[in-house]
Amino acid sequence: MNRELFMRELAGRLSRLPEEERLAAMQYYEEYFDEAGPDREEEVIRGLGSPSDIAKQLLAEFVVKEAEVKPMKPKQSFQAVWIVIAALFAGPIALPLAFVVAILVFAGFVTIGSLVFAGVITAVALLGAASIVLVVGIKMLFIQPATGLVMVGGCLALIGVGLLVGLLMYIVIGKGLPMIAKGVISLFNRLKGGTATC
Amino acid sequence: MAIQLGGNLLEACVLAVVRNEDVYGYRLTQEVREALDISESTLYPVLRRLQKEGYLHAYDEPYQGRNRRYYQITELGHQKYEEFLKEWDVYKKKVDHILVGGVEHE
Repeated sequence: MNRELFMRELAGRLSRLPEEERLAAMQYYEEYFDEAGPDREEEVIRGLGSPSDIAKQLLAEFVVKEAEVKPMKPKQSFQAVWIVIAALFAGPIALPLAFVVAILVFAGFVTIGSLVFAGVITAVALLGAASIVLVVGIKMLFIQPATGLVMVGGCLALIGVGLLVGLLMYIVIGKGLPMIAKGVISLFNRLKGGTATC
Repeated sequence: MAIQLGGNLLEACVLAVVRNEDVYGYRLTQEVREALDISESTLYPVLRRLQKEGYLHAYDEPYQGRNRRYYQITELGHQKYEEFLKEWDVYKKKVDHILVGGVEHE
């Protein structure tokens, strides 16, 4: 690994960042190598760590900053969470801590996933059953109006509940994922300093 | 002694150094590394963050045919530094209370 390879790998890994960010970072490290001088080049490369780790950190910081300013859609939240977790594993934080965060996130996803799964099944079952009875109920209207009305009324109520459950699941995903993302981000903010010895 | 640093402590240290004089990345890193054992890449994200939050202002100055990017503290940065100082003071007192005084039981 020499300076050129280092900078080239760094540039590649930073390509996901907006140009302004990437250029600022590249300039900083070019300047750093210049100041250190060619004699210290090897030492600096060792001291800087891998371009991959640096890029993960910068990417996570950027994503976190963006998240604070803009509300996130579920898909972006999902991506943000992965980026931040990758950075936590790459960074100076103790591995066990990073694992804890990852597990917490996993638990969060599983919870949301289970809720949604249960909700979807409930909604489908409700809607399915209700629709069937609705058809029967409508036929009943012509035979025994009173009974038919009860059936139709009951079905419509069930369909309503089914739709509500569906809506609820939509909200759970819509709010739940950003919530997990925000949680991970605030954990990241508290952990990012890393350890130092004095 | 190894301490788990919050991201804030590093920011405070950077502001403290830049307060005294405008400084460029490499030099800042060497200075901070005299006190804290951090990696040479640790400070860039901190500098970038402080810049974006308006506590630092960056400007370029040519030096020996190449460029040096200096970081300068802003008015907002001064205020932030004072805030950090207060927080650190509170934190110090709390730690002293336990380390030196021990915790008293009734």
